Amino acid sequence: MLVDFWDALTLSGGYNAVVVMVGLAALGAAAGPVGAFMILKRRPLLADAVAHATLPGVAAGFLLALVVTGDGRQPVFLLLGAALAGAAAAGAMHWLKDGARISEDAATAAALSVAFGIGVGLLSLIQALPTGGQAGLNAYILGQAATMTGLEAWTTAIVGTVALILLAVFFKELSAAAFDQIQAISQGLPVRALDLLTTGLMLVLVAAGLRAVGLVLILALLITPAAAARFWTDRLPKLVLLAAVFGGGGAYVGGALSAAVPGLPTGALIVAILSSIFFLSLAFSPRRGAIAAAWRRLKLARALRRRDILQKIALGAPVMGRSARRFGWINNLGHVTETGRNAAAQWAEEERLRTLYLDENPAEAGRLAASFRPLAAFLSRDVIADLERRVR
Amino acid sequence: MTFWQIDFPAMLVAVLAALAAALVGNILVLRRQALMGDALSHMVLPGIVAGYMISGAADSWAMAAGAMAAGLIGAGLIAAVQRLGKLDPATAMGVVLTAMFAGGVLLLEAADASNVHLDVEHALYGSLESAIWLWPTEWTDIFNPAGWTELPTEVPLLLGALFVLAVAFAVAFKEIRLTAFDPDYAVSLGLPAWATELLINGAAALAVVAAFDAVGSILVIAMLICPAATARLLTDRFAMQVWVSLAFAVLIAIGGYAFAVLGAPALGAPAAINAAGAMAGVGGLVLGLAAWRYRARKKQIIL
Repeated sequence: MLVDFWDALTLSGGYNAVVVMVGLAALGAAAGPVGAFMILKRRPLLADAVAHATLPGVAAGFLLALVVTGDGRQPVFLLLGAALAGAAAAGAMHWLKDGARISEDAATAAALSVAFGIGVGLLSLIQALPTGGQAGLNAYILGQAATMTGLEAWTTAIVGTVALILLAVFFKELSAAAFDQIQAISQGLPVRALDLLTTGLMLVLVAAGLRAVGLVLILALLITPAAAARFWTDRLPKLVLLAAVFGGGGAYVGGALSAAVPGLPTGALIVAILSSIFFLSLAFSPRRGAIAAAWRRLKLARALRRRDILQKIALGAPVMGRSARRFGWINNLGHVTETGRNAAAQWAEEERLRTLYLDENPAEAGRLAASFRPLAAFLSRDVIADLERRVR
Repeated sequence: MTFWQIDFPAMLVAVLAALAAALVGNILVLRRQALMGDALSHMVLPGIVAGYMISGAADSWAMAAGAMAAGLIGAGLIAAVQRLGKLDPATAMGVVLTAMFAGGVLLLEAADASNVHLDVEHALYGSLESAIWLWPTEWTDIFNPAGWTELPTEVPLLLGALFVLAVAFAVAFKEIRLTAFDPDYAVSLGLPAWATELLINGAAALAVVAAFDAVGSILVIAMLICPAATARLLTDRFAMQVWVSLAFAVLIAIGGYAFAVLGAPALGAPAAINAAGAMAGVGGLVLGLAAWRYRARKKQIIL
């Protein structure tokens, strides 16, 4: 199993497996940025509706191929059917939603589940047909990269690569339009066409990814990398690049895992990897992560407590509590210690400097009002020395 | 095997599931939280599998308890991810729902691949067709309490969920209406937002869990949204909307089942098609017609 995983990861698993892996990486790397743009446009779940809605298209494509060619499993028919059905569902959603009665979320949920239901009905119909049944169509629901044919693998790889190239070429225009639509219009960018390009890329990537990742979980390939990238940067170019790296890497590693454990659905494995990246980013990102945020909150609370106690000591008010004892500012009898008096005096001195500085520079009040932080955090040593001289 | 042994129990399960889902759907549609139904229906999967693994059998009650827990954990996780990551609610939902569904799928494959009662297909399409009741041979038998113990296990579960939801609606109707139409006003009257959120998520999870067995994780969304959205288009008062949605729930359940079993073969299908899928299709048809009628009338008024 480990050997298989390593073989797949190092692209030494055979011709077909190599194409599948490259295809998955390209697909993931293109889906990450497209997902980032979809999130920026505040339509992250459109991809979910479109993905679920491809099922009746796949089934109808199968039936049509069966009638035309005698064999239902023609990737081109299935892919086209999927894309058409996805587009139709997006259109139906747009028609159904109406600001007053049917909000966007209700239209999304309805389109998603109704289209999927029609697909399920068609699948059960195909299963009952005497000719071969639906063998292989289940792979479109949860993804089965290990059993992809050469043609299917090549389709995925080509669509992923073309999408990547388009993204690279139109990156500047797409980011401008996604970020600030009004400014983009004023700059003369074809905002509608760019909008269509994003949605179209999303649709094509969903359709091309179905066979490998499956329609239930392909949403994650689009939005999870971008959501994870959000924890590491505030700048759009870096965000898009990170989303591409996370998406491509996650799809690649997940695909290798699925080659090693053929029984498990590829989609679930890829999503497990992508979700791990997301939750690790959420926990450990130094700037926006949960642990860093909790640590900052603790430090802030400590600084506030410190300030309150020093203020009381300086004013001669009674001081109690465990934190004052822990700081060493009162002894077990509740009397203020030498250290406490010194710390309070120092704090009071700094308050005088702060007041003087604020009197002279009222515009800086917002920055300096946080009186629980030492002045040295805001002002240079020279400025402080000057203030000290003048206070004396 | 007769109608009363095969079709009647399946239709009973379908109708009860549709009623429970439609009741909650009314709140979700008005509060613009329809996608919470989408998220919940995916997120309960790991809980169902865990309930199955812990109880060691396809015990409906253990699986329902697990699903309920998973739904509430998922709702909490969405709120946490949204706050910590400063993500918009839909993105947080998408990330969490795919993560939990993928976890459920992997857990399911790891649990026991040979088991026929619980597999991915069951989770996706439901198993309405497996609801059979061997007891009755003619219609009078269904009123004989002696046979009620042999009802499919979904029936008591669904009846319980429906009872809880119906009582909640009857007791707190005014409060529900208030939070549905004007959440901010409800908060100002002393209904804390988090408590409302928790109760609504709990109610939605209950309906999803109860209906999951019958129609599966994705089609339950249609049961939640279609009747309520249809009623929303056709009525102007909340009480009326609830009753109309319940009527449409029954219509969609029976109509969908009838189409699957009678309509599709009559149209040339070699056998009956999946009933849950047909129900969702009928739900979409009903909603589409209502939306079309609503548009036509609105245009008339403007002219």
